[in-house]
Amino acid sequence: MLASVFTKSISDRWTSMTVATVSIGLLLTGAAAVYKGIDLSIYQDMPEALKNLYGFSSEGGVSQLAYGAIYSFMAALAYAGVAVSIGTSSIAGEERDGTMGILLGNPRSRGYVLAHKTAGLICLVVLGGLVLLGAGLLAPGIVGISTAGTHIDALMLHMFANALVFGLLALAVGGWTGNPSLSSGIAAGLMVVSYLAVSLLPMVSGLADLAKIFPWYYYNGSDPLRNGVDGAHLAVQLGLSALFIGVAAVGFQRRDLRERTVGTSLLDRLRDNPLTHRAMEKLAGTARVSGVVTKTASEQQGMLAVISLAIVLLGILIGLMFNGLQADLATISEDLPEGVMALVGNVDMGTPEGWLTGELYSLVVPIALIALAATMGSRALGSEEKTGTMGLLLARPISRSRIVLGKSAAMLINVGIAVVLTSIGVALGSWLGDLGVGTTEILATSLMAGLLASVFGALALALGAATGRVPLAAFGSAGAAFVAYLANSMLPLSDNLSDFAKLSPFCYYLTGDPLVNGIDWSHALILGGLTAGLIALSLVLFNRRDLR
Amino acid sequence: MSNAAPIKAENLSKHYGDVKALQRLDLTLETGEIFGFLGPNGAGKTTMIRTILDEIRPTEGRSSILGFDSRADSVEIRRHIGYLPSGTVLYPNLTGRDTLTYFANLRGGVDWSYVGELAERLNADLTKKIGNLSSGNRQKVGLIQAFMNRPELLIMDEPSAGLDPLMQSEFHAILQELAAEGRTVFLSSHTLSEVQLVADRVGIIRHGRLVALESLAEMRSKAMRKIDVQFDGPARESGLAGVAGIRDIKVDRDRATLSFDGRMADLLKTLAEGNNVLDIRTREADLDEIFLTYYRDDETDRTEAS
Repeated sequence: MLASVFTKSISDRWTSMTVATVSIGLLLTGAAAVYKGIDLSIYQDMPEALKNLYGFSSEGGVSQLAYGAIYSFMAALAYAGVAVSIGTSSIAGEERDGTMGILLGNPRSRGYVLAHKTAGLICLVVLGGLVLLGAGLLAPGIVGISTAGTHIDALMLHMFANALVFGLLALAVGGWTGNPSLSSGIAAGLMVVSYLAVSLLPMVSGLADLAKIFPWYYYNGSDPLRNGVDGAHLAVQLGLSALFIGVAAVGFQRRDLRERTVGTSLLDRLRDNPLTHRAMEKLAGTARVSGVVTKTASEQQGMLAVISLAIVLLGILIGLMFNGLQADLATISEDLPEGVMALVGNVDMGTPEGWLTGELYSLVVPIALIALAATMGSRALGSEEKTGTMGLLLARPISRSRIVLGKSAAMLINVGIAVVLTSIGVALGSWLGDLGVGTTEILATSLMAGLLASVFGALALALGAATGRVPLAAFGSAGAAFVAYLANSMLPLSDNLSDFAKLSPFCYYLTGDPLVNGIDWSHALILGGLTAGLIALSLVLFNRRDLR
Repeated sequence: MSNAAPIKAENLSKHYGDVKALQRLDLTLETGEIFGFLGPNGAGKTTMIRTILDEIRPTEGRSSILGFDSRADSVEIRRHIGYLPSGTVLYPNLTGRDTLTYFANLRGGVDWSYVGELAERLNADLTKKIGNLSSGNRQKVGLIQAFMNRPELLIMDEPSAGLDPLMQSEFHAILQELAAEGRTVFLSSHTLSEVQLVADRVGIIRHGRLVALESLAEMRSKAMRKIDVQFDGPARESGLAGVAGIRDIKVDRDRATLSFDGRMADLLKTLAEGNNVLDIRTREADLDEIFLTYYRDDETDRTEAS
């Protein structure tokens, strides 16, 4: 696989593309199975806004709903997202890592490198597209539903071209500037913005045509799943792709290559600016490095900011949406089968509390907070061991226990900040949408989510303390969270196994319905106690072990 | 300052499964010396350092630093030492000054005027992010963090990697000043020339065993001599094979060159038998040759073992 730049590019990234697309294929099969068991009439009554956001088409059979739910929305975003990450790493990523110099130390031109990288990117996008197409063709057969009236091949062709557009946009920005953050930021940012714009603009009268300036429009604007390939739209997508290849080629040839660099954060820029230097020097400099806690907490500032901002915006949006949807929501809750109700948290979406729980607290908020806590927990010890800074850190007169406690505190602080911001976002949404949900209850529910996240963060910490391996800690805790979530959702459906759900930390999160009843202190104590226990375990494990 | 031995290792062993990274190592450092710890890559130098600093735990034996037990008093130990790990890795997102501030905060009691002095002497740029510095400039920040608390004992693992010759000599000058103040330096290295320049005493480690432990002067004196012998006519080397201490003998008609670390009297007697010796020149082998000889023995060991 190392015969040329092309084959190496493929071998570097084929796993991420395969994993992403195979997972989506499995999701599609699962979704098809779920939809098969539901009374579909409720979807016909859904408000246009929801249907657009989730990619449902107004009429059609089970297969269309499944494709719509998984492919038009989730698959297209994930698939294009992987393409963006490959496009970014192609040129700009190699410059950031400092390997571009070695690569070009061989008698190969920049044109050769770019051509091979581009070909690698296209092949990987084709590979992902074939996996998705295969899953799309197989899933209905497995589940036993009809695909009459659907053009999965047309949808996939447009989805492939869509991923190509955004992947090559990342390649073009990276090729022109050599800046990986800019490259992934612009491509991923435009991808999300154009997805939202294309989903939401048509609902606003007079602005529907504005959607046409966004590349996403040429993916599903013609509804290829029902109408087949739209030649003109496909031509726009392929034309954009070709344009981006040209931009990358010209940009990469004409500029100075970058040396290996580290990213510059917003704080760094403010620190360098003479106007803000004095204030920022304290925040980005001395305060940040005043101890293990602040330094560790500051390291995930980017992730904390993105997650918090997303929840705040979502909180406001979800709050605002409620009134328009209330009537339809009440009927949905009545019609959903028990299994589906369990998955969305057994809530009555017709009430404001149920709506906030179903849309935010049952899944989105815990996922976001667990991601934050588990990332910090898994990186706490292992990443310093992996990069080799643990030895230097431990050359100071501080004990291993103090490091574990400091890193744990940093994790809890960041989760705490996210909890406060989540509460603010949801409270704002509740206030703007006039939902009338109490601020105390919102704070209580967010706090419970934070405690739940801390359990999995502390689990990641313990796994890292025992092994010093970041991936093991990250995947271990994420897997545990997934299993715990499913256990809490599914086990209660069975009469024999329902008691086992109590083993899942999720059982102590929303069971007392904190959005209505406020905090359940015994549940909070259980989650807090689990966290403390896992941190104590980490202390023991980390103290006993040879450092890597 | 403490009167206890700066470093004392007793029967120190570290095994990873079947791999014996350290084998029954005994070593005692003396206060105020610069100790050169020499060995090829993979000999166990870093394992030894990580074991005495409690990063990893010995399979057998114990060690102490400045009289404190490596295991029980590891925090106290680190109040008194400066440490530079091999292949110095620092936080790429912090500037040099941020890095030093962080470490100073974790330690307490760092004299910033001394930091400034060190930065000036080593010509270190503390305003740039570590990730944007060249490896030599990064190493300077690593050196400063090891020096900055004026430690009683400095433990440095391959410290001069990436430094230019000018900076290397400045670094050696700092080491010698510290030793003159009664501080102890433990310098691990595979570059002999460096150890030769600054060390008072040398230990050589291979396959996790300490195979030699001598003062630099001792090592030179007892060590090998290079000998050239000029004969009056073709040399007869028949008896030479029996003399203990002869290595690498080469005979070229009326000349012989050899390395020798045996008794000179035996050699002279044997040479004189049946030969007319015109001239003998001997010189001290330099440390490089001694060092290589130890490693060559090493290779012989390995051939024998297999």
